[in-house]
Amino acid sequence: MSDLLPQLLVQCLNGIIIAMAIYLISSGLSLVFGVLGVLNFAHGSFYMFGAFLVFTFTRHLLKTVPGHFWLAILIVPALVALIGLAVEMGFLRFIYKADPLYQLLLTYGLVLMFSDTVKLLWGAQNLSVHRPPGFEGSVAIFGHLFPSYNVLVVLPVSILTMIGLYVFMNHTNFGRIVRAATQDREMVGALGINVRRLYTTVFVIGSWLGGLGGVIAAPMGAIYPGMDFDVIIDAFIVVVIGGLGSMAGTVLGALIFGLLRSFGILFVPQFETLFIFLLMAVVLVVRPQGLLGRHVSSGH
Amino acid sequence: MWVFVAALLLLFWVPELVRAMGWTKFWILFFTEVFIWSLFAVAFNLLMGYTGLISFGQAAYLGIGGYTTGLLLKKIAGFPFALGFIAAPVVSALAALVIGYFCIRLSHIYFAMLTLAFSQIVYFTAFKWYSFTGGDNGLIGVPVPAWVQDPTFTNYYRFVLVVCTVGIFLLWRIVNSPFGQTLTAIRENPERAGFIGIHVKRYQLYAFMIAGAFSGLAGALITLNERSVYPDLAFWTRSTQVLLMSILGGVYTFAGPIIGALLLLFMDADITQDYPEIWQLFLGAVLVLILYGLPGGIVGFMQSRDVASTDDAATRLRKSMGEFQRKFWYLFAAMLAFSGFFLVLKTPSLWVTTLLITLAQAVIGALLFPWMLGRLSTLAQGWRLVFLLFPLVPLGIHVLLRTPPSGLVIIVLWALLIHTYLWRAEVREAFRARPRAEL
Amino acid sequence: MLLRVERVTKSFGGFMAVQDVSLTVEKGQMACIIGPNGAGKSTLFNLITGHLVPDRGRIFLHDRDITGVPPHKICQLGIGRSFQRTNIFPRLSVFENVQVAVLSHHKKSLKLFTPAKKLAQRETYAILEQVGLADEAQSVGGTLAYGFQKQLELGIALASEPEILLLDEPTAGMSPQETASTIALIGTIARERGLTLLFTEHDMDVVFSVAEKITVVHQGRVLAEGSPDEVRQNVEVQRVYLGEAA
Repeated sequence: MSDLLPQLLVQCLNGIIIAMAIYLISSGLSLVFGVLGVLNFAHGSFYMFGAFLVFTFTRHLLKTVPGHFWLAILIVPALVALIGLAVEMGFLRFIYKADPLYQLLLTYGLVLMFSDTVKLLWGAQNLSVHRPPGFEGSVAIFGHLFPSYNVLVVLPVSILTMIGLYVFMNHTNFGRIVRAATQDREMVGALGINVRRLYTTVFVIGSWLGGLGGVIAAPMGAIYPGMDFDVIIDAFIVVVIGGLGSMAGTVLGALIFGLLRSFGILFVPQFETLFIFLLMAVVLVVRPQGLLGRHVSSGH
Repeated sequence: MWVFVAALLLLFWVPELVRAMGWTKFWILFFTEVFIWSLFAVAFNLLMGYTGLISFGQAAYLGIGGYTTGLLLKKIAGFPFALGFIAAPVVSALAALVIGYFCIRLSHIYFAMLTLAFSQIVYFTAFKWYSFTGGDNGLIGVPVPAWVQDPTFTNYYRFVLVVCTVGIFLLWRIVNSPFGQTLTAIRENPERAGFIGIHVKRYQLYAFMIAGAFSGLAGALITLNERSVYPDLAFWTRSTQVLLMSILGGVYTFAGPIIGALLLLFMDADITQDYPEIWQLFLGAVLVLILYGLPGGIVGFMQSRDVASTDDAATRLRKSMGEFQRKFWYLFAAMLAFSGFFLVLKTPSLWVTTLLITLAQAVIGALLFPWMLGRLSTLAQGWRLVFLLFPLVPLGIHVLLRTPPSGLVIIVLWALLIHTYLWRAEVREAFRARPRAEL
Repeated sequence: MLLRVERVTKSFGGFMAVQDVSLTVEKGQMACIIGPNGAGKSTLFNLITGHLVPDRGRIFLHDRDITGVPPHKICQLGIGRSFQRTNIFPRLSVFENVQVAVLSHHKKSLKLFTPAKKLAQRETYAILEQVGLADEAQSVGGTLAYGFQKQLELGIALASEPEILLLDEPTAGMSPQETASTIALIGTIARERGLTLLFTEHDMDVVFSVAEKITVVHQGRVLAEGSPDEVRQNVEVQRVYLGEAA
């Protein structure tokens, strides 16, 4: 009985790590949807690019440079943001007026194209990104060994991002505009703000976040073509549960996702993925706007 | 009408044809796949094109239908085949009733997300419930009647052809019935539909159930051939596949999804044979192109559009010819791109040659077509015939160049466009009457 | 009394769109609701047709309580409506626009296997004739000129064979000639079918020439009610309208 509490705490911490990782990835998706109203299927592709690019940087390009992983954190998301810029300017901006579902389909087309592009550039096999030196071992917390990378890099970076986004949204001028845009896009335009540039900027930030997520998550496991498909579904779940367009909701959704996954694997290893989808379905049925989202009208 | 009957008869004898020509059995199976996906796509499009509900989880019913038949036939010894088969659409309809009840309350993105969620639930249930469904090893060894197990696949082929024809025919009737018309009204304007006395949600649910039933039927057909059922029948990427087929062919027409299914499977077979690694790239590119350039899909593109009610015959003709010219150029460009692409795919080492050939075609076309189109606008019967027969030229050229069939497909589409525009009764009349002034 | 609205109130998050409004319409009457923009006319219509549920108050049709009844049922009970912004089925043909409504009225919408093309042709064409769109039967609804679309709107509403027709600003955006012909058309149809009319309007000429009973609404409340002469002479009404400039 005495080791039940530590066990619970271990699972909690595990869940939080998972949650923070998926939060980092989903934050960009949520931001883009909140401001642009586009549910970007290709967000998973940005994540994938981040992961594969960090592989290239650490294994090849910057191999001999000390601290190459940290350099990669600086460079790679910026590269992914460039890709995002190209996507927004070349594709997305022409269809903002279209039905959101058609926007979704268009981004799905991009997902398909990006998926094969990665395969062509990096090959079809699984690759691995080494954890940065100093974080290759484990730490013992509550009597359980955690990879130190997860605890000492993933957690802090994600929390920093969360705080950073919060500060950005609530205490900067631009952030205030972004928040206003999530509430009322047309009004923002009427107030003289260059909506086009706003959209582009937000999309670029979103893709930057996706790339960052890919970089940070890469050393946690294998990277493989097809990870874009897997992660985007997870990200969808998180933002739906938390509430599309709500940044706080994304945090909440990520926490629920992480904890459910962590405890689910422990107690019902067979069915934990099932539970997550059930939860998604339940949330959509009972409260379609998500736990913290704004009211969504049913019907057309 | 008779064209269809003739086509069906022709299709019926395909296995014999394949054997006679010495082609591989692959083609028989290919056609059965086309039939099954056509049925699935038309059922899907009942929801998307006709009711305006875009489901990201239609494959759930493929899975439910397949597993229903599979489980009944396998787990219950001696279960009659016919019952096991019929059970698939019935159970799928019931599942659609339950799932649909929840999904219908939402709209747009949320509807799509919920259908996705349910479809994944079905997938994971099948995947994890090892003891019942065999998990990811699949449900194998489903007993099917001996006549299905014919090694030449002829019987299976014919069975699928008949079932799919009946299914598609029923869907055709449904779409043209008052119910189908009401669905389109709901799609067009749900608020107004409510205020002509239609209980919108209930009709949407009915549509959902019908789509689910026919999708389940398709799933059962798949199970029959494979004699096994795997969870990935219900995986969400299968749902997006049928979505792509519908968009490619055109969601606002009945035949669109069928054309889309045929084209997609055809090009899939062609590309994945040698270059599976770019199939998704190609597919994504086509999807993006269609969404940008051909919002009505291929079939929608073929149809004449820009006519206002107040136009008289001459204006109508002029607009029609104008449209025709524009679309003629589009398909010419598409033909160059696709035939070039597939040719390079087949013989990548000769890509320079291919590029030169493509450029040559482009130049010849750029010089020749404006003149030809100018002649056509004089409404001389002769030129109409020239255009109707014209596609044989590029077809011949590319057959000689040994362009893969997927590249030839675009020429067929080009011919179809010409036919659609120049074969219409009013156009024939206009050419016969031959007004003195040029258009 | 055909339609009776009894002290309905509707607010949206603190904003009182309709406040304690009562209204009656007799059978065969041409009743009109007038008031400045934002006075709550459309909200009132939405309450009657079931698109909104009142916070307080009741609505009766032939003494039957229809408060909160969903729109599709209200339509079946005999209330027809044309909407302020044209609300047709854009990609259906003019014929189909009306036909789908006719078929719904005859409860034939659930027929799954009969071809719809040949059904209810005579009745649909009769309606198209009446609204002057018989020549446009095959045109696609969305390609029609605005005036024609309004006529189609009317045709769809008539297909449900309503007893009382609610018309939301039927002459909005029309030139004087179009207004006159529209009003004439509506008047003819109303007489031929024995319809009761309740409409909202901005155009005072129309109102005072056609309406038998006028209700003036202002800021969600009923300001005055009565015959055209009574309303014209009402001091409050004069203040509101003169103060707001014609």
